[in-house]
Amino acid sequence: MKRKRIFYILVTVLCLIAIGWGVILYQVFMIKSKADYYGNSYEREAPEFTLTDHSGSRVELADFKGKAVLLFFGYTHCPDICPVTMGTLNSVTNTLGEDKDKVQVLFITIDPERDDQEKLKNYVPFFNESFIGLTGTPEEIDKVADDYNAFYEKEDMGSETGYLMGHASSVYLINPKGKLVLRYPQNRMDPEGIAGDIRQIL
Amino acid sequence: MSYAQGGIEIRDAWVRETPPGTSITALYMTITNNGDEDDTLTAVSADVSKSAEIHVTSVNSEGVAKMEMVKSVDAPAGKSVVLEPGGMHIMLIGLAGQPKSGDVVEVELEFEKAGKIKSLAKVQGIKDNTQEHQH
Repeated sequence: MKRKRIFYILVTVLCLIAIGWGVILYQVFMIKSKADYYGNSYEREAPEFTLTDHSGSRVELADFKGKAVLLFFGYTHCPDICPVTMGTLNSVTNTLGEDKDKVQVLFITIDPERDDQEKLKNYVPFFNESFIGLTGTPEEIDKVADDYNAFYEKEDMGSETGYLMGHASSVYLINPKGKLVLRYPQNRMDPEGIAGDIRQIL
Repeated sequence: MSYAQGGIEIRDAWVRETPPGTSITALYMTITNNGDEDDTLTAVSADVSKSAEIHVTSVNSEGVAKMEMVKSVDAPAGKSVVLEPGGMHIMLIGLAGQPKSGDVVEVELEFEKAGKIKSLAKVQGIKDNTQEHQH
């Protein structure tokens, strides 16, 4: 009787040790994985949205499940940061080579007043044929920007352009399962770095 | 390409190519004041645009990008001022056509002391890898 009890206790202890190690190794693995990303970790479910793409169709974020999504909020009257970022995203796509078909770049305008479907049709594919521009009603844009904590506001400074926009300028990376995983601020725009992260999450 | 007058030298002026339907773009360059008197850039014009304004891009700690319009740019004696992506640039507004990679744009810069200096700016394509490495 005593032997059996000792045996059971031993087995239980061994199991606990095994589980303990499993947890430790898992944590180490997770921490190591996080530290290996170029972008800033940013984990939460990617909020769903329904907007109009540059060909006039209504699209949802869910339409891109199974692909990694690179999301950027900008506007076409932006002469500096937006073209630079779109150019970078094109470089990322080229760097990915074969994997580029598993990635979708989405440009969401935060200036729906001026950036209608026609404007985006001329602007977005110019950077890369596969990129999709999204617009919508001011309410729809307001909602998606709010959901993504993407700040934007009109700036009237007496410029001949009419008005300019201050806007969140980071690129968001959503994984194929629809989870927001990484964020790239303007000082983390190395195409190789971003492509490396994408390969890891695909 | 560099253009000099009255101590002011304009180097590596370039304009970003525009997607179709776009009416604004950015002009960048390096302004060097080789003289011993401070000078100031007060106006810019380009043959391809109705007007030109000087803007400074900034991105705050929360990642929000904004532009601030400034009336002039100081060109201190003996120093260089670089207008580059993500920083200061000259916004060309009301483009007459779409500048394409390989085109050349004629710009005129007006300095308080050095006067009007003409310069030629090359148009760089978005997909040119060289444009972000200009100094």
